[in-house]
Amino acid sequence: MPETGAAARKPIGDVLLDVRDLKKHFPIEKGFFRSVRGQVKAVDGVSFSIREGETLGLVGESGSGKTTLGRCIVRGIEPTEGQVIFRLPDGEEVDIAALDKKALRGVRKHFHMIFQDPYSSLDPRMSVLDIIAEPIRNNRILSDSREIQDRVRELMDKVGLDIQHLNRYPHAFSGGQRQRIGIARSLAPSPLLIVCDEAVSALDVSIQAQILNLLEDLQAEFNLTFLFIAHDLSVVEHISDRVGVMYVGQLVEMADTESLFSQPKHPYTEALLSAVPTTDPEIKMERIILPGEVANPAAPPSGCYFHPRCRYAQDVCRTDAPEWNEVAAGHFAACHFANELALRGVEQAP
Amino acid sequence: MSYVSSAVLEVRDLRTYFHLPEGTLKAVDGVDLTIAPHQTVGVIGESGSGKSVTAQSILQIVPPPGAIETGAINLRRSDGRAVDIAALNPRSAEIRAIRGAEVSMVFQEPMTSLSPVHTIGAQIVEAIQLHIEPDRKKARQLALDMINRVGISNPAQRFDEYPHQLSGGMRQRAMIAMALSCSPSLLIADEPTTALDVTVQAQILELMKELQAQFGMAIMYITHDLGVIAEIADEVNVMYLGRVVERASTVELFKNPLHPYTRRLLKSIPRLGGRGRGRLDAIRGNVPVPMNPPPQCGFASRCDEFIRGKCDAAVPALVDMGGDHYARCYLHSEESEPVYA
Repeated sequence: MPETGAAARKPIGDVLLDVRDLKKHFPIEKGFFRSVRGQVKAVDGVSFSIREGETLGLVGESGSGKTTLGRCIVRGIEPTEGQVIFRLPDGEEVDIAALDKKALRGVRKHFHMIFQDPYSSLDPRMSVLDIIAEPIRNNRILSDSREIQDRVRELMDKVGLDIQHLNRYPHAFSGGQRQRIGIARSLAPSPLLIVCDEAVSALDVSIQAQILNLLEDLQAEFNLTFLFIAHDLSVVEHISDRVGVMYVGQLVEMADTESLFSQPKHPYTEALLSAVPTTDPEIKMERIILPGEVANPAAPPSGCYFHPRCRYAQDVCRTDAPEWNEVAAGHFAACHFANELALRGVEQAP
Repeated sequence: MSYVSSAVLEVRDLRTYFHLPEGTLKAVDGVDLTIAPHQTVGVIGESGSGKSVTAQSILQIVPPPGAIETGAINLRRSDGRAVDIAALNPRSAEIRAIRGAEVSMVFQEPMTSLSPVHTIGAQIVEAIQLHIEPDRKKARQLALDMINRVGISNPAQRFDEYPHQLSGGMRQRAMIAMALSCSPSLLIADEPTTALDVTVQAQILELMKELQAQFGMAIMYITHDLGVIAEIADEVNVMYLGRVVERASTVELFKNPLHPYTRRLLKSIPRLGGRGRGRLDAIRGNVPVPMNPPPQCGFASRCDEFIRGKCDAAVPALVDMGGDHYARCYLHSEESEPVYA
């Protein structure tokens, strides 16, 4: 295990991933001939970039499109439009969204995804050895079975698994240990980018901290870049350098963690922050209870998608979609009144 | 058992075991709880702590091969009579009169407890007709009123809709409407907001507080989320491996946690406003499974303050450390639990 995550962190480097106007629309098909009756705009024009060694947190409620976005980036599903520019170790830039199958196979080892549910994401019929070795074999990184076993042992040791358990099956492990297996598997081909989709959400509270520490240690050791998708704002605040907030398929705000949490510029971010229950029963924040629920991405409201739930909404919000503007250095928001509203953030805990 | 108290529910030394081929799983192993009207008692714990099985025991709905081994669950019924639920047959008429009427429950996943083939309205009317108002028309009116009170928009239309037509938050509201339709004296809420988004969770927590102020029912609120429990509970019981390891008023518990498990748990979670990227103070090891547990402190295997020959020799007793702050730990009291065999 490397020393403490904070101290050993490497400096953040150049842009590794540049997502440009990414869209994923799912057609709504009806009837025998499956005629298309509409589009669910799960991801609707998202642009951002992540630098090498950086952790970008992505928050949003269910239906916000954050998982779909993560899947599009690793080409788990096909994006409808847009570019996903990824810098390979040799400096060459490729558009993951546009690669054909063969070319994709050549670069897949450089990015990987960790899933939420450590119970359904591991094949119950494969031993730990085979689960972790699969990406090594598939990407033809090593072929000699001795070498593969050595590499799997090394990875198991890195993620804190007992190497004696090499030939056990997933059912013999607890949730936290299974998530460690998933992490070892994702590290196997030495990727540059790891997309963590709710990687700690399904774990017990006392286990969450172990996995968060592990991810930070591994990031420091291998200079990994994380796209950390989660709905838990305190977890995202803890692990991220920068944070993006999604609402109905679009980014509504993005900034470095400190600015976003202390001085949110979008009313949705303000409401999200105020809705998080705090563990200090003596500090009772004034809670903003948002009316209604997340808008339906198949039939989003007019103008700003957030206006039906926004307590600051004006006439312009009902008619015009707000632009994505840099409202302060490195702080982007899509709100007509981002510069005028004085929104309440979360003060830094002592 | 003598019973003089204003409490709605008194659980005494409850033990619920699952006798499995590979051994005895002691899901609940000596739990005491007292809940008064208008009070919200929080039960917090991780998977395997026994919090849900405690709730199931109170309603006598423990799935086989689980069964209440021993203990008392004294419920004050609406006519003032006390009844020991633990002594009732799970199929008896009396427990069926209690379930859903005097003690009702809201679950984490509304879809598992709402019938997918009946409308929301029909399901609430059924509960009302069964327990309090046999007249169909009047029951329908009561149901509509209830749907309205839990903040479901457009009640008349929602009444005739099926659960799948409702969003997650609306379904949870429908569940709460059904649970409260017969004016229970105790509502057991088992992770009712865990599957919901944080903004919807805030709505539901607010709703439950409002409804408690109106109806005055006692609430037993089960969750793994420390933030939610700080938000809603008056008193918190921290469970670990089938036992309550600490109990105090919510303010006291978060200000002055005594049990090493509670302390470490509070330290290990990232908190909003924490910013920094420092390492979290994680609790080592895994949550054990209470299969044939040795007679020792359940947290012994993960505790940094473990005392050899003491913590692994007997089960510490849950002792009042002053001001109704109870802890089950040898750091605070030498007292041990009597051996239960």
